[in-house]
Amino acid sequence: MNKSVDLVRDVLDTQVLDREQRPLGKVDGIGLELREGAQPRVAYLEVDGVTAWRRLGERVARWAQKLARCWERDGHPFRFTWSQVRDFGIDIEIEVDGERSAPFDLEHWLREKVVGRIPGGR
Amino acid sequence: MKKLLGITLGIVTSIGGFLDVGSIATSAQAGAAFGYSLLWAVLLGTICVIFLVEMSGRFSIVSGHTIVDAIRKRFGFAGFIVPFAATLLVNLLVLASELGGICVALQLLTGIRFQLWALPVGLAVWLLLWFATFDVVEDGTALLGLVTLCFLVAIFTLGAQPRELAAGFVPRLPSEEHAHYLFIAVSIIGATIAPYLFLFYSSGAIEDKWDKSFIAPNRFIATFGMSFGSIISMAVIVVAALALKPEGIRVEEYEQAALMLVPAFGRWGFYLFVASLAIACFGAALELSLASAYSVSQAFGWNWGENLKPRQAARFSMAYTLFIALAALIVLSGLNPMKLTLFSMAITAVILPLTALPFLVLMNDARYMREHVNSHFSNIVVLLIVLLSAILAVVAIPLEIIGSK
Repeated sequence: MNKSVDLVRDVLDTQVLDREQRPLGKVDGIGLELREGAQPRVAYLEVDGVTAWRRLGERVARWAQKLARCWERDGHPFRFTWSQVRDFGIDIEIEVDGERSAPFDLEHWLREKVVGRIPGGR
Repeated sequence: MKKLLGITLGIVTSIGGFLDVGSIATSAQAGAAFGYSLLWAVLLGTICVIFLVEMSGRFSIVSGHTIVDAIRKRFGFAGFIVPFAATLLVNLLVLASELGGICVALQLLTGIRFQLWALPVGLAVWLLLWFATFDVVEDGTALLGLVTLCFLVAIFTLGAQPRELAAGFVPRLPSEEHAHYLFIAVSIIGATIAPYLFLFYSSGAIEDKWDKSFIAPNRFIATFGMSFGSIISMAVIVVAALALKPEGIRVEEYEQAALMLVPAFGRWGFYLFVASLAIACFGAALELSLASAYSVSQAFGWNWGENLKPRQAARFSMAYTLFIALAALIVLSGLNPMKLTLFSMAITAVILPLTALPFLVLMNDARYMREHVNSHFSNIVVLLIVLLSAILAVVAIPLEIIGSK
């Protein structure tokens, strides 16, 4: 059955969960693919802090990017496609291991550099 | 059993969050300067906060969202982030006031200046969050918070006149000090309707996995819990009016406020006040730190929860760590804690529409609330009180600043 979805209303800024139902982040951006002679198609959904800040302006995005370099590893911005979506309701659940994906870089960085070094943090 | 726990959550939110540094400071000033005549401000704030807390519980039960989460989704990141940042900033000021309250209580007890307590107190709040689980935080504060009942007892010991009390519920401008009266009224309302209360409550409802069967208990918790807290802050006004006003004692510092229980309880009154101040502020500081870290995590979609070990939710834990550290630094800077508190409360009233109005929009959105959308009546009550308080606050703050120079 075909169902219509309002991208901005229903998808943008929705909570994304990984396959273990762990919070991964929000849908911070949506990428469309423009096709010759056909309707545009949703190419990917993005979970990335810098993408979110870019919605306030390029300058803010540059600052966010500078800051994010401290903890970012590979795979930024993190993107997934609609085919990876397992469930779409209040949240969007995707077929991804959150702990091993780019949106968790800050979490890992804080665990290693800060939390792990404080007693009781583990 | 789960319901019972839920009801405890409501009562804690009311004691730990309701009777906090803001209520004690504003009520003490109000009673000492204007007698019973500002009781109406507590009542007005309480009506509004009962509606808001009930709504936030109902919202989370029906929609499965926390408020912050939903406001971001409904209004988009760009529309959400600025009001959100403003709310966080005010939360920070209020947290600094709460820590300041604990520090002043320790200063009253030991004679050691409050600034020197800033770091140890911040550390104590942080340690509890770092090592304890939600239930410990919740139940511990609830039990200890009962000490604030001493203000109620004091009313009966001192013997308040019921007729004069009743007159305090009718707003009437005093013969002098109009600007200060307005400022204190606004601060009382700000202290009563603190946004972190309903943000915290909505997070608690999600964390405790409330389902549809909680809709009725939620109404009860909101009404009963918030009224309970409100009665205690009214009691503070009454006690200050009975004990301080006739002696001509103005509350410019906590030292003066600390005398208010002495006529009722003698020397023990001083210790009761100090204990009430310290415990209420400590409970509120815990809630505020949690509420703010919850909000940040919900805003960015991170894993959050006080029942997770810090390592499982590093970003969440670092959020409250940073928040407490900044607040402790504000206290350390040596700003007068009483002034800081009153201004934080007044500013809370100014920014209230930033959280309350988007929230009202959500409460009327059938996509989130289905058949549980707000009634016109509750919309109008909240809208009127929130807008009125904000306008009064915008007028009162500059007047107070000019007046105090």
